[in-house]
Amino acid sequence: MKLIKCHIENFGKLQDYSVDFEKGFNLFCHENGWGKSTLVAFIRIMFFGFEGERKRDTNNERNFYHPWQDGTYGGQIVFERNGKQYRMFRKFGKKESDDIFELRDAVTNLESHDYSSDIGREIFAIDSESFKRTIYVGQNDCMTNTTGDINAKMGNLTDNTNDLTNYDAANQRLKDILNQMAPDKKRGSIKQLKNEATDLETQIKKEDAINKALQDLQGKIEEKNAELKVLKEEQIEISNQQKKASTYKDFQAKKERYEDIVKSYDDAKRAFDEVQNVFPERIPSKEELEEALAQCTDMMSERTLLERTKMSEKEETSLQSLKMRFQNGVRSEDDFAQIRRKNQRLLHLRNELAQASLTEEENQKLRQYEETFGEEEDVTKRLSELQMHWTDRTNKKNMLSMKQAEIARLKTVEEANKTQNTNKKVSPMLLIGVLLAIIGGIACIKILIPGIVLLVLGAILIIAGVLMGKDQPEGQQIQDNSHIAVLENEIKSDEEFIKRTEQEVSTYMNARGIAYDVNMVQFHLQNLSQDAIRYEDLRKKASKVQGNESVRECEALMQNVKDFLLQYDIVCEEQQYADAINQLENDQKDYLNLTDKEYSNAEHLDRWKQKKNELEHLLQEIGYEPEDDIRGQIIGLQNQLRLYESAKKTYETERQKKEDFEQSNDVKILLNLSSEEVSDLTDLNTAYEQKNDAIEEVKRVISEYKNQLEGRSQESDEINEAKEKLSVINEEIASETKKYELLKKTQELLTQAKESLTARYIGPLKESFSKYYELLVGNTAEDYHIDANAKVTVEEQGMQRQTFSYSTGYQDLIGLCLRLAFIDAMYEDEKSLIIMDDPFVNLDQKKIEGGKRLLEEVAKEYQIIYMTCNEGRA
Amino acid sequence: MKIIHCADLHLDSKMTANLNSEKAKERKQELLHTFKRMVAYADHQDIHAILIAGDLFDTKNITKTTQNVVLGEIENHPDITFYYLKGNHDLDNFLSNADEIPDNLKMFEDQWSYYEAGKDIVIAGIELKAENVANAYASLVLDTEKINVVMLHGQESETGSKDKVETINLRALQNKGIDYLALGHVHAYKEASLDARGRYCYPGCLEGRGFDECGPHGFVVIDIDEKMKTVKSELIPFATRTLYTIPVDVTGCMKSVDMVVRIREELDKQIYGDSSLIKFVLTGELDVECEKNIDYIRQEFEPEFYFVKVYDETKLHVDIEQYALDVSLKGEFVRIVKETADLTEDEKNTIIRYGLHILEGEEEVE
Repeated sequence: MKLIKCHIENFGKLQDYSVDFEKGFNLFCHENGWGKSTLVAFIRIMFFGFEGERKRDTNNERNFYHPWQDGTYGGQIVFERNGKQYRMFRKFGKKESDDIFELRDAVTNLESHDYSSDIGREIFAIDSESFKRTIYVGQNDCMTNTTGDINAKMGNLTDNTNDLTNYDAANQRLKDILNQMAPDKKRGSIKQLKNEATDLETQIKKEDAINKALQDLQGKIEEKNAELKVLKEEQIEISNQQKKASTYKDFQAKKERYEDIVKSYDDAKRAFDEVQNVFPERIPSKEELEEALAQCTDMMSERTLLERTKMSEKEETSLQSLKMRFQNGVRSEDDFAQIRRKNQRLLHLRNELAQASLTEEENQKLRQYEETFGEEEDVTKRLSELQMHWTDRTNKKNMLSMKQAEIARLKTVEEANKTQNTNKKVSPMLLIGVLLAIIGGIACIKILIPGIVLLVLGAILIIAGVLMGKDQPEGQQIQDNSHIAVLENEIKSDEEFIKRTEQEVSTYMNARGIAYDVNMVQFHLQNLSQDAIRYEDLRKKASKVQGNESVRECEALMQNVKDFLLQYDIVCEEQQYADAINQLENDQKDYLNLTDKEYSNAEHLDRWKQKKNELEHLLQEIGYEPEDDIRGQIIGLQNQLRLYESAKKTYETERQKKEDFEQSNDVKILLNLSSEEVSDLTDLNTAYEQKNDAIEEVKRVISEYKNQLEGRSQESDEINEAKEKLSVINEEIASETKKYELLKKTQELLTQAKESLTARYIGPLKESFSKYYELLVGNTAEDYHIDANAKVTVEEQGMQRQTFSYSTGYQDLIGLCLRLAFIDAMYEDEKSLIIMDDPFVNLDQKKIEGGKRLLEEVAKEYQIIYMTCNEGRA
Repeated sequence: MKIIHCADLHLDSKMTANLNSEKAKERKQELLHTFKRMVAYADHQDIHAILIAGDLFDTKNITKTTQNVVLGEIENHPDITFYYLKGNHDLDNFLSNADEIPDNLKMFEDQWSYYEAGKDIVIAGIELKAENVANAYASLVLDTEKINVVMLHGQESETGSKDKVETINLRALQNKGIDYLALGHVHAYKEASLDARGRYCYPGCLEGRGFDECGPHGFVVIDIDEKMKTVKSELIPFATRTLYTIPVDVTGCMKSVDMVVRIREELDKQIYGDSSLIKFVLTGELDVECEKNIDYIRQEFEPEFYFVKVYDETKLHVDIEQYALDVSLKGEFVRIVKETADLTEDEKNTIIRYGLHILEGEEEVE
């Protein structure tokens, strides 16, 4: 790489300055102030940019080289690299971002992108600092040392990795970290941790002593607490005595008052106890006795009611009888109403029938006639017969004397007439008729219609028989017998007839209660006939009614009523049915009333007994034997209770007074009050105060101990904390120490690696150094050594020494040779340019000559830009 | 009769192990509030008694507020009897503000105390100390006809003792007629058979405080049927917040964002409330050059939960073949580290990771 030309628009003091560069040695020999350093700075800055951008002093190159006059700040350089020429243009602004960089192909003038604005690093493969340590030899700055970039470039590592360039920074960083951590440096973190640990250990060592102190303090506190307890008890005792003394008089008055109260109380109690004894078992309440009294009244009411409901003997007899009657139960009103309706219906029907048949008078008559005539069927006929017979008899009687005269007359003619006999035979038909009539009459009682039929048939046959019997003999007697006989027969027959008729009539009349009087027979028969006719009529009328439907209903109703009554053993005539029913209903009412009365009586009896029992029980509970006059007894108890309540109230009032007094006064003190025990109040006050002082003192000591305990506890806690903290710190120390050791080892091994790597180019570097040293000094450089860090040492008396103790000239000389050796090692293929700003200023003349030789030799391979103000060094 | 059995409330616990001071203060108040909620629960659920089997407080120096709250809760619930057996963290100085001990607060001493909790229910307890532990078991006398609940604070003997707490010899408590052995000290819930008759139970702490106390926490409700002589118990999860440790395998991830995705996949497997405290443990093998930013990952999840911690347990994987022919400082470094004899493989991988990250210009190394 070499520079072709350069043009400065404005840069520092240089303005519109152009220069063309030669291939080899380019000398710029100008007086001081010409701008040589500005020119070489321009070249460096064109490639690497300004340094000290952020600085405010002269180290800020942007400010330092700002043109002295207005105009474009910057310029251009034409250079050649790898056979290609470029024109590099930079215009500097106020800050880096305002800078303009432009690169063009110097032949085609086309913009080139082969390099960026970081063109220095890209071309030289080193940073600005390394550039200043090698290619660019600043004024009074010949000394050099390797940088990472230099090492990398020398080791030809740039293409692979630039990690060697980071070595210095890494090494520095490691150094810094190790310094920060250093266990043997005051500010080292490990040292600080160790110090902290030592402090904590010192603190922890106090643990046993503190624990012992804690125990001691706790023991002391316990002792003092016990002491305090005793003192307080003593003080209380004194206080009691003080109270006793200071209040002795009051207490005495109180004591008397108390004694009065106690006496009143005792009296009241005694009275109360006495009155309490009135109630042997328990004390009834006022309400209880009031209720008992009310119960007494109730009981007496019950008693009255009991008396009222008590039944008379008659009622009891009646009830017994009724109970028998109604043993099968009673009938409802409906039943009675129903049966009454039936009876009324029966009566109604009877009335209807009565109106349609016989009047009462008629019935009476009929019954009289029936009594008279009985069941005889054809009464009229019979009576007609009797009348006829009587008439016949009368006639015959009347005729008998005539006949007898006739006979007598005839008797003369008697014989002729003797045969006359009356032989009257009863017709069989008449017999059958009578028989039928009797059967029919009897049958009428049971079976009405067939009976009547038989009765009528019997009557017809009787009439027929009678008629036949009458006609036949009379005709024959008159006709057949001789007149005397006939007459005798007739007389005999008539006598028989008369006798028989008289007998018949007599019987007939006697049967009907009529005295037989021959003279009255006709009369009676006549009357009887009339009665018979009436009887027949009545019977006919009666028989007419008997066939009616109403009669059957009547019969049914009658049967119903009859059956109804029969259930209650009542048998009576139909006419009595209504009365019987009424009577039965009345009886039932009586029965019910009586049973109600009987029940009510039983109830009242129960209630009376119950109340009596309750009252008796209450009395027994209270402890009294019930007397006959329970009411009186309870009223007596009420009086006793009032006495008891009064005594109790008095007792309770007195007791309350006593309790109130005892609550508000220490009775024990009062009772035990005696003048002997009372101490002098002044002495007691003094003793109390002394105890108080002692208590306060003990409390103060306890409080002090507690404060100490608290302090010790805090220390104990702090020690525990310290132990925990120490444990953490020890772990941290171990960890950090380990890290420190490993970092130290890292530094060691990293340096070893770097040296191992750089050792590869140390040989060629030494050769170059020796070559340039010999050119410059004239002697061999065999005593000079270059280590892997490119440090130059000089072997003197068997020891390698650093060169910093050498003269400035020598140091410049060694630095220059080393820089050239670096450049040889760094740019083996394409040689670089070398910029030197008066490097020999510190050399003696002999060395300057050597320097010139050196430049000649170097210029054979490198383009050299050499600045000097001294012709002698040019 | 229902009884609450709780223990290890550690009120006034500083809670600063994981949390910043603001949240630690908040959690400290939450512990106290959970105690109050528990008492309210007992009040509403007709609980007759609350057994506190030790470590009610975390520190010997109890704040006045906590003293007053605890004492106030006891005094304001006279129907609930509080049986308080002190643990290795407790002093009874929380009563120093009280004029007198409330009637419904029953305490225990270094001798066996027996309280009648019901007609046939006895609650016995003793505060185990080095001086009394030898005779404690032999001196326990119980009426086997009654329901016996025994309170102790200590470490069950199978797992040995730590701190200053005494060991509880379960074998020595067998066949004593114990129906329910109410223990305290172990912070995780455990319930198991004591003998043929009884069971023993650690209810665990009421609230999880650190990631060694993950999962549901609460108290145990003991349900005693006096007629049937049966005792049942059930853990009631009651904590305000739950802590979870969630392992996440991030093998193969090359970037923090990939790891976030893996964590999200893991979170999708279960529901975690936004009040939870979560610790993600990254596991698996990561390439040595992978980008892993624990802070970034943590911050990604912080808005979603009350507290998030990311713990890195990943192993680094170095593909040595990848660097075999690499002519670079990195390649040279890896080769040299790998060849170093006096380092473990994990150390080598960590060094490689440190070196590579430093070379990459990372400000921090993890």
